Amino acid sequence: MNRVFHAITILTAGAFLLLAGSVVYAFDWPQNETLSDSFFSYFGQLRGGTIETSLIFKDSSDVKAADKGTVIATIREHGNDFGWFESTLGNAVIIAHANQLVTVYANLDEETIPANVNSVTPVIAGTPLGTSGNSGWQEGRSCLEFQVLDTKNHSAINPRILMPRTGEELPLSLGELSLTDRNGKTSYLSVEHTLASGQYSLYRARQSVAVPYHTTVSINGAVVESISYDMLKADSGYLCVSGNKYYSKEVLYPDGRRQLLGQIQLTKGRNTITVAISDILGDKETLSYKLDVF
Amino acid sequence: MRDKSKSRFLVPAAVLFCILYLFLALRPLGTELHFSPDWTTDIAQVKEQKQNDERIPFRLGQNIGYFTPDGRTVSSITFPFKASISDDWYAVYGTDSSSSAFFHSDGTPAGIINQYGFPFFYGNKIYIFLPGGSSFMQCKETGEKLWQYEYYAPITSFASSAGGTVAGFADGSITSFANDGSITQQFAPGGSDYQVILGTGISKSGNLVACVCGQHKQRFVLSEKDGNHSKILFHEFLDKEQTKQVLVKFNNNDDTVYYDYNGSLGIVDVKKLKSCRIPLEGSIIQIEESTVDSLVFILSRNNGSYTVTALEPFNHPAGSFSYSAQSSFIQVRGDALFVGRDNKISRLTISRK
Repeated sequence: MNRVFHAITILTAGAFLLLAGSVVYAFDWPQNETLSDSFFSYFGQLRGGTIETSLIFKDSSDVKAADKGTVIATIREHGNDFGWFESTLGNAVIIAHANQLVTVYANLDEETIPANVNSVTPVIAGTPLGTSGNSGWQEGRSCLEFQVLDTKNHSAINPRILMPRTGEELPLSLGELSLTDRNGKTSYLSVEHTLASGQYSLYRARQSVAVPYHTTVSINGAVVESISYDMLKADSGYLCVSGNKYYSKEVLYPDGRRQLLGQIQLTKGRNTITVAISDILGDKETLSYKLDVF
Repeated sequence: MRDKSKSRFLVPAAVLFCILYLFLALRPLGTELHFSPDWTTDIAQVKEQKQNDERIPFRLGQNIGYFTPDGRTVSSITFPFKASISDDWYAVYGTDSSSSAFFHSDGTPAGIINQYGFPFFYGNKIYIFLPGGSSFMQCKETGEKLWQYEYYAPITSFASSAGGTVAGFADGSITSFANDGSITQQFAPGGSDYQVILGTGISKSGNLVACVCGQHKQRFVLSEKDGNHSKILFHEFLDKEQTKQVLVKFNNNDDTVYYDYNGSLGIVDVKKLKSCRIPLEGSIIQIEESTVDSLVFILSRNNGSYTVTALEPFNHPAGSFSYSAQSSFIQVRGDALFVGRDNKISRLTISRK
């Protein structure tokens, strides 16, 4: 329990530091201003069989540097070239900034990328980088694919932490909560009131677009699991979110329908499970269930 | 009196030396490389294929397909978005592909890759690059997953050989893999103000990895697997920096690495750990090696002009020719050089005369 408490303290402190960092270090919009609830796809969402490291805009627009920095690389489509790999980012410009942050502007239209990015070019916030297009892998109507990398801590950062936020957040809903035991048997908390003691994976119904910024699971008032969608790290060859452990896509999104809230231990007696999901502004959706565990 | 007798022998000795020199210094004149045009075929004129045809892949603009060494185009497929082709397989796919059917070179179905992303065939290997740009998977010959690697930073360079796979990333790290997916080398070359990998190559053995990396003190680095570590064998700083993805390739014997050095071809002798450069305008698109005399052919593009340069081991330019084209490719088989140009493919036989 102490270890869990320790981990939660560290995670909370980490999230606080990141948010605090956003106060002193912020990016401009990489394209036209977009309302908080109007992005095509959000960081941490399940997209194309992987955990999303990008923020994907909905409207095609001119793309510009989010902050001053230096163009360090361009990724291009190699439609005419034999034997080159095709990045699923399509045409992309990569810029290095202060604090070892790197931004990636992907899915650009090749014709619109300015010639000066072919050399190591210093840029300021607002420097044109091209127009969003359809050169990368995309699902439906998708435009600019924007990534922020923290190369010092080897993680992809939720770009919204460092970007301006306008308008309402997408509403979060907990949906149906389910528990899956080690044998793969699934019970729904809205139906079951008694369960055998043991270890369970607790899931919510995944929303197709909205992603919580933070999820917390408490049992009898004590926080036992807390997962943050502020950054993604690579662990043992898998891209993961951080909770008590690192959770890869296979664990976080075991299928297209469910999203992991935590791996919990139910002990004999009355267990009150409280689940809270919150958006980037800290607005929470909470639900509690009582279970008799034998 | 003594001087007179000396000079008497001096003239015959000089004549004798000259005669001996003529015979001893006799060497046959060096043979020169000749390219004889054999045939030119149009990729739109598809001929019937035979069962035992050797099929050579081509990619020209929005067309992929196969032709034979005797000059028949046996398949030509127009694709609307993207495609990948190798000696063994090909696939045509869209920008939103959720699964990719792929085919043998004879057109028969080979399998389905049930993954989102862009498939890529290289040699006898099948990969798929996953959405987000930072992860990829190697697949079996039937399309099922063999192994997968996920990372947080986008893949900026990628190469494969019989001995393994190597990927370079936007954060300046490199990871190489054995054919079973286990990591053989994982390191960040560093040494520059900004870290990024623009090009990578892996040797046939899988033990050597080379890359062009970094900005502000961009450099070429050659490393070797040394137990659980990577040992830098050679590096050199590049005085003309570039941000584009670049080609880095080992030759068939793993004793030379070629790389695109922004307006030049960089050549590194892996054994002597020495390097040199040959001026080549534009970007290097392909580097192919012939089994005859280990000749290396380089296809480079400069605006709308393509140049094929022939190189004798290990750094002697033997000749070059240029042409205007929208798209081009080269293939080398034995003593034949195949050059594709827009909708035409030509065969040139290489000989020494």
